[in-house]
Amino acid sequence: MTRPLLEVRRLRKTFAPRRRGGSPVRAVTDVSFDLREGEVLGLVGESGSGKSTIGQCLVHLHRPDGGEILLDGENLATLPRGAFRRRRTAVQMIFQDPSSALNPRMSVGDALREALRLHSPHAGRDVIEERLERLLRLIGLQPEHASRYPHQLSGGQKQRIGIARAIAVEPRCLIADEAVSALDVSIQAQIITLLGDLQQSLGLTMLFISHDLGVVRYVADRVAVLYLGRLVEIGPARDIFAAPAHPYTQALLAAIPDPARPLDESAILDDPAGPDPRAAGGGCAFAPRCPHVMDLCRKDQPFLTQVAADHTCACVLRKIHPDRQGETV
Amino acid sequence: MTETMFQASVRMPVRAARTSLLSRVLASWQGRIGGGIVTFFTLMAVFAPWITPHSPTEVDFMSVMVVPTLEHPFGTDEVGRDILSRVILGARTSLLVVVAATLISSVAGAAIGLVAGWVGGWVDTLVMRVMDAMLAFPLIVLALAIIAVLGPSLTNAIIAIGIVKIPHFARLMRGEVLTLRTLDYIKAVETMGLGLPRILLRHVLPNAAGPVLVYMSIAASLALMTEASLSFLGLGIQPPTPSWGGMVSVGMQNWHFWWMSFYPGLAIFITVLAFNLLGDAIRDAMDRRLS
Repeated sequence: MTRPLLEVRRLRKTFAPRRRGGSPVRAVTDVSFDLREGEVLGLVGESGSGKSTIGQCLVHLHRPDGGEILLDGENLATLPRGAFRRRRTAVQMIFQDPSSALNPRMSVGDALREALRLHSPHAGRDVIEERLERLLRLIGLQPEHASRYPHQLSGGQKQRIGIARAIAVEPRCLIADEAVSALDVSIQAQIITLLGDLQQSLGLTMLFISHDLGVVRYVADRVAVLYLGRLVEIGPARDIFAAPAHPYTQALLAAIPDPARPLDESAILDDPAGPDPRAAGGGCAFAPRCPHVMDLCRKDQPFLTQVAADHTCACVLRKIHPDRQGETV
Repeated sequence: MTETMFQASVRMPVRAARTSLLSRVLASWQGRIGGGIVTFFTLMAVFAPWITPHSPTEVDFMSVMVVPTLEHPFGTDEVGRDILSRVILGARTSLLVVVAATLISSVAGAAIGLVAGWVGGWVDTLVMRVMDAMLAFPLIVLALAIIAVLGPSLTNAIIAIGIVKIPHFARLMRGEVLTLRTLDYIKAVETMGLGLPRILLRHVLPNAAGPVLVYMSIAASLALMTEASLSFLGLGIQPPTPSWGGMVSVGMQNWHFWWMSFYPGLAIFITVLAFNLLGDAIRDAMDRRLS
């Protein structure tokens, strides 16, 4: 198999406590996964699970405390400054809130020209203008939109510009951090379609971060599930949605509203506060909420174990009963 | 697609897109009145020696503290100098002090606040503690201390008035920068690998400038009053050079002769008002959403 585009190895990020004496927040703990060339990897989890922190580490908005991020086998964290700046455009991000993602004092054209010039600093004016026009058409807008300012655009149009800015520097990998969560449902579908088209035509690799499993099911080739900063399950989207291995993934899937199914009264994810990332413990982080919890879970941290082809899960149930692999617990 | 239909219906006029800042400032009544008054006073200051009806420094003991007449429309002061002429010439020193001092404090303060807010960490803590220490002094005491070190003169008065306002601008700018840093468009240009100078000049400064510009108009009026206080204490503009603040101070000691402080006070009032109007107009003109 070819080498993955991006390899994340034992990534760690801890945030210092807000107040003196508070405990630090372990946002991401020992997360490892690969982003394979040309795939869409969905990264899911509830709020506080560390999905955005991972995305921001990948584009260097956060400096990880440990672990490696390998792009083509090169560790971005240890690259010298100059080499890093050239590499930086390889991974670009699409932000959640389209209204704060664009500089209100810059016209759409100027914002995109800035990105285009950054990519090819020696290109002439005509070349940039031609590329600008092509870029606008590529994302489904018209050349006359170049003279608009962000406040003259709708949310969906702003998000298109955000996408255009990200692909203007010709990245190899896009991080979509809740890229459609702030949009109307009807606009969501358009933006998802656009992302899908671009991914196909430009051969992009994409990390699609979302809390919305319905959207992830639609776009992702593979899905990674995070719980309290740890990877609990990763595998092909089809397998995850058909036969989720981890109790947490099962609970997440059960929480998707489905008119054909009666509401599950015993929903274990009902706690509105969600899990507390500061609560440290030796065992499995999900143990306090897990319906299948055993004594063993509170003692030992479960490892990721293979449960099916290309599908791993971190749960002791999966380790104890290897003969039951593939079944739903 | 629903969005293409939507696009057609919201095709907005884009007339304001390429107009210059100046024309947008002058489009509002605040801009026209404020700009008009500032221009008027500036011209008055430039051509002062040629338009004063009397010598602003010539002492005439035959007409001391004369009430406003046709000969002396603003009256005369305690040594018989024509107040109208002194107000006209005083515009030179007063405007010079205001403009120069405000520029010093806004440029230095904004730069300090920008660095502190952007770099953060111990640099931010250190810089802002120094600024807090400066804020702890009353303005005039700090200005006096600076002049005591530098010696009294017009230049040193400008420097002192400029320095005492630096912490206000630094605090204001730092707050703006801290807010902007959390916004996605700043993160986006960082992620693209845009150079730091361009990030600061094209994305951070223009979006932080609004409150700073408005505060400049307030700082300008405060500078005028600080100059008045310093002149009153004999540490600002040295006599016989007239300055509005100095004239008000002297007039206040002879308050039966109201014209001595009224007319220079009126000049201060109108100038401060004009700066405030102009500040509002510039802020609005820089905001694309309103233009």
